[in-house]
Formats: sequence, C-alpha cells, structure tokens
Amino acid sequence: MSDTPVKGIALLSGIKQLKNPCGRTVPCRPLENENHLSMYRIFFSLALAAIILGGAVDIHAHGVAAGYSNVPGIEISAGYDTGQPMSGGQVVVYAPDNPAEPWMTGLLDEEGRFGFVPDYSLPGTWSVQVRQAGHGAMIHIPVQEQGIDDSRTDSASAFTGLQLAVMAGCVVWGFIGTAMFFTRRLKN
Amino acid sequence: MHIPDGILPLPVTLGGYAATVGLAWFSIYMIKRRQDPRENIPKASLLTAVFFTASLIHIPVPPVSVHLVLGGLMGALLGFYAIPAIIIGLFFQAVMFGHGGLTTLGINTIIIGTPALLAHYIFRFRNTAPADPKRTGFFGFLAGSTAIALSVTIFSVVLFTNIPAHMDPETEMTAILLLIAAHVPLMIIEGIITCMTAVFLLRVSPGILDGV
Repeated sequence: MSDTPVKGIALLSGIKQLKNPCGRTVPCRPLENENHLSMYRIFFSLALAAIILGGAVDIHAHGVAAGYSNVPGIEISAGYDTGQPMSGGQVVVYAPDNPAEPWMTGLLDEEGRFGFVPDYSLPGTWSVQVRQAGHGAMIHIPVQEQGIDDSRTDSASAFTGLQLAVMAGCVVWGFIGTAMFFTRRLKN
Repeated sequence: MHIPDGILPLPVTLGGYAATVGLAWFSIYMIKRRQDPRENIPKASLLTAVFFTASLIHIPVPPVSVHLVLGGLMGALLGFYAIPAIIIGLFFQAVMFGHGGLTTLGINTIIIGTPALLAHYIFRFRNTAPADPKRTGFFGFLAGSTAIALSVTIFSVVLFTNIPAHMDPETEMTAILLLIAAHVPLMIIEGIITCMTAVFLLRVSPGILDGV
C-alpha cells in the first residue's frame, strides 16, 4: 500500500514530460495551432486514465492484502559451483535442541534463496541442509538470544577460479611426477 | 554424479565402503596376475590426472549443467587399473573441490567404478577381430556411453531408495528425473570422447591399447 503514492508521482512526472513537445529539457516555444492542443489533451486524458487504473490495480489487486514486519531472520542462498542457483531445492532446518527432527522444511526460490526466523529462545548451532537430486550441502549457524553470532558465521564458500586452477595444477603435477617416477624405474 | 556427505544414511555409506573394498581387492588381484603389474602405472597415473580434472569441465544442459565423468574412458584404457585410479581421483576431488565426500567415497566408487569395469569388458570385444579403427571406435563409443548410462542408473537407484521421510518425495523424484534426462547428452559426449581417444591412440601409439 505504501508504494501507491510513489507510482502516482512517477506517472505525474511522466505527464509533465509529455507537455514538452520537443522532448528536450530546455523550455519549448509556445504552441502554434489547435491541432497540437487537441493532441496534448488526448495524451493528458490517457495519462490520467493510466493513473486512475494503475492506482486501482495497486489498491484492489485480487483483493489480497499483504504486509510486513521488521523481524531479524536468516536468509539462506544455495547454488552450484557453476554459479547456477539451486532453484526448487529442498531446505531442512534443524534446531539445536533436536538435530534429528527437522524444525522446518521448505523450498528454495528461483534465485536459490530461503528465509526463516529461528526461535531465539533456542540458542546454539542451527543446522540447515539444502538438497536437490543427490546434491546438497549443510551449513551451521550460531544463534544467540540476541541474534546471530556474526563472529562465528559459517558459510560454504566456493573457491575462485584461480584458486581452483592452482589446486588442480598441484594435484596434476603430483600425478605426472608419479608417472615419470615409474617410467624411469621401468627403463632402468 | 558425486554424492556429497550428509545425503545418504550411515548404513548405505558403510555398505558402499564394503563393496568398494571388495571391488578394489578384486582389481588388485587381477593386476597382480599380470607379468609386470607396474607396467601400466604411468598410464594409470596420467589418466587419473585427466579423471581428476574432468569434473571441473561443466557442460550446460538447460536447465541444469552436468560435468564430465570419463569413467568409460578410464575402464576402456586402463582395465582393472581403473578402480584404484578412480578411488584416488575421487579422493582428491572430494578433498580439493568438495565434489563428493569422504563418507561417500565408497558409494561414489561403486557408482563410477563398476561401470568403468563394464566399459573395460565392452572395449575388449574389439580384440575378437584384427584391430581396425572403425571397430575400435565403435566399441570405444559403446564403452563410454554405456558407462555413463550405468552410472546414472546406480546413482538414481541409490537416491530413489534413500529419500528421507521428512522430504517431499515427489519434488526429489522430479529433480532426479531431470538430472537423468540431463545426462543423456553426456552419454553421447563421453561416447564420442572415448571413441576419438581410442581411435587416436590406435593410429598414433597402438601399444597403449594392447594388453588392457
């Protein structure tokens, strides 16, 4: 509801631009004939109708009322190491007092995100598992009564391309060295 | 194709380790029967490097992406050496990249290693007649693509039979079916890779293919 006036303002400013026929920011010359005037009247009427219709749609959209409240929560984001979000993946949240039974289950959205508000009366390590078709990860979130303990925040961070290349290069060099070692022994 | 830690229950992971121990014992037993067991170690080591890095090569198959496995190539070119090579490759993939996991090393070896052995037996059919590029290429393609098909089958069966009670089974099964469909192009790609590699080695250095 709060953004309705903002939209209205945006549309009204659009009308102000339409009143400037040359499309520039500098002031234009006075209008010369009535044809131009009638054209502006049509545009003005269309813009006014858009404001009214736009406002009506915003206020009465399918009769749904929505609101929000400022509650501190946790947002999980999950994706594959290719950068693709794990959209539609299943999320299981475990509270610290019972790590065997799920405290909450849900689905990741299209961008691989899932939000929830933990029960702050249960301080300790909350575990969140994300899973999709045999792929998945588990993260552990330290929660205190005052909120999340940022100093101990754990996240399954991905390596950069350079780090991966260096790691892969080291291991590959080990395999090449092994091959060279046994080749030399065979020659001897 | 790599199952990470925390996905499967403990009995399944332990069963995977037990089966892997049996598979590794059988492979090493067959390797030790050779006249010189060390002869193929350099080749196995280099192909382990290829297998290790292959999981970093992703192929986009919208809406998902799959990565190369090369289990068929390993089996076709290494024979029984493929099993220890795959175990070592999977271990380094889990430790360095987080592909798979240490608790699931056993079951992942079964998923990739068993099809590699099947690929080995398929590729050996080319020896029933004199070496020929077309014949080698055909059995190479068959070995590469069959290995992926069997890997995906084992992977899917393991996941289908171990969906936790608190998860929505329909959502998970839909995701698994989507993953199976995404591996169909990979079957063709890996078949082509194995076919081209086998034909190339036959023309350049046929000795590498001998005795596998």
